[in-house]
Amino acid sequence: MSSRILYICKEEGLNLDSEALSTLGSISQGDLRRAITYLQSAARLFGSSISLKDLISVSRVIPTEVVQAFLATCKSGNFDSANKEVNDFIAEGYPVSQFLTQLFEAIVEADDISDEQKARISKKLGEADKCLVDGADEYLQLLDVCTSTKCLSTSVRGVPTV
Amino acid sequence: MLWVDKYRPKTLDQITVHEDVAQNLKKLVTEQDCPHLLFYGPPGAGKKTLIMALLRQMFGNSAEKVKVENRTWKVDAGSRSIDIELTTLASANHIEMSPSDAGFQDRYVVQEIIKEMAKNRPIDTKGKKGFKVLLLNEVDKLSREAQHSLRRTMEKYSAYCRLILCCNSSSRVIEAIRSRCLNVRINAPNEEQIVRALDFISKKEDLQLPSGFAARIAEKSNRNLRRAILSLETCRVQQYPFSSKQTIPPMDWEEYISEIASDIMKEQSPKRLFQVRGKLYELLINCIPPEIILKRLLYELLKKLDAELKLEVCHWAAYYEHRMRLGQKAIFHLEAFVAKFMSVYKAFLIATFG
Repeated sequence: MSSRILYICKEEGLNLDSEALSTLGSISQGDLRRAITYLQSAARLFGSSISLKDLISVSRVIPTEVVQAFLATCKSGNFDSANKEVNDFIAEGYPVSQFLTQLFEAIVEADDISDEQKARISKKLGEADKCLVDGADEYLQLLDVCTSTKCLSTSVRGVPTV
Repeated sequence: MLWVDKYRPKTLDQITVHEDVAQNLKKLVTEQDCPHLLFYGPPGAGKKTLIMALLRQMFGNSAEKVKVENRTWKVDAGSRSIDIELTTLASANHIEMSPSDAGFQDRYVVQEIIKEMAKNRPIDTKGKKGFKVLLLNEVDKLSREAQHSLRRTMEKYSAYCRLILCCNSSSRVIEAIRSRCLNVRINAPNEEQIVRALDFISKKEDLQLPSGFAARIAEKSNRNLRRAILSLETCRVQQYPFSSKQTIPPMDWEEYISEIASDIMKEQSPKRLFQVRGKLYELLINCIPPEIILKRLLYELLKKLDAELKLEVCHWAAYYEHRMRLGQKAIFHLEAFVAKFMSVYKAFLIATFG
């Protein structure tokens, strides 16, 4: 895949550093068409020299720092700060469905959550994703995920499973 | 004229909140070619303003000469033909509409009407722009089928028709459409930017704006610039000169919901539930969207609850909102939420106080 991308870059006269190239691979999840679309969009918007940040901004992918900050708030167990975080997140306009995917990855990789909790949180994420596909409200679903993640990872008191 | 419209930036250069996006869009258009665009972001963030400024940049002043057309379309749907009424806003180079207005018939709108519009090439006297622009609002409210038909249209007529899509929640737009567009995320302005916009307007209107006052409006507006400007204008009508302690009137429906919330907190009984139902009906007939009612109700209830209960209540709100989306009658689900809340709360009270 990267050879094809590099070929396009050469033909179009684009300048892509190796860091951006590997990011392009990961954000497009191996989808070549998507990778090329991102590349073209970034080239259109930001000119011939493309950095990592440009690619992130055209691709709907949420910056890792945002995901980590969100997870940290979830773990902290304070409801009001979590609520505020969710509100800000929605106001920033990030797509929630994309966020759930990234949150899932972050949780799987986290060291301080036990396997059982990970499984429970993943189940919750799956349910929320289905709801979003059905057209449910982003704010409420995200808040639900956030609060139950908190419950599950600190195991204070579980929200009743439906 | 409302200030919201009066001080809406007209060109990409005048835009103050999303300067970087505006400059990028400008670059995009100067290169003569323009991909399909998908704007997404919360309400009152400036999506529409950016789009209109972009159109102006593309087509010059002619983009502003629009005429409203209300037309009934006859659409052949298999065995029978149906009439669809649709309002469009059109200039020589672009057409704007909200296909989701057609409700469950939105599929036909996309399949027939949009296709027809996309097919017609613009009459091009000077040989400049060889394409026209279709601006579709609220694409996230379109049904799945309609979105899939839209995808076909995008591919088929991409030679001389560009789509600009505008929506609140990009999760509801299918992946196939998202991957064919250049996605532009428009975030809501932060409070500082809102304060700056309010300052700008009051200077133009020759008003004295106490420093703390603008900040308070911005805080109340929930990062919604349109709302902030509207409440500034309301305050201006109510009392001028401004005092920094002046109250900012909340929307009347919000007050009504906060009343409902305190009703629920005071008593949990079937009788009270019945009264609440009446009030919910009242809100629904005044065309407040049910999901907004539920969200606001949750917000009001959360203010009054203990931390322990908040989690559970949030969960149920999400649960019933989802059911509401799947079902037909919103009132059932709103009422179910209220009933559920009452039961949870009562159980909590009994457990704590016996």
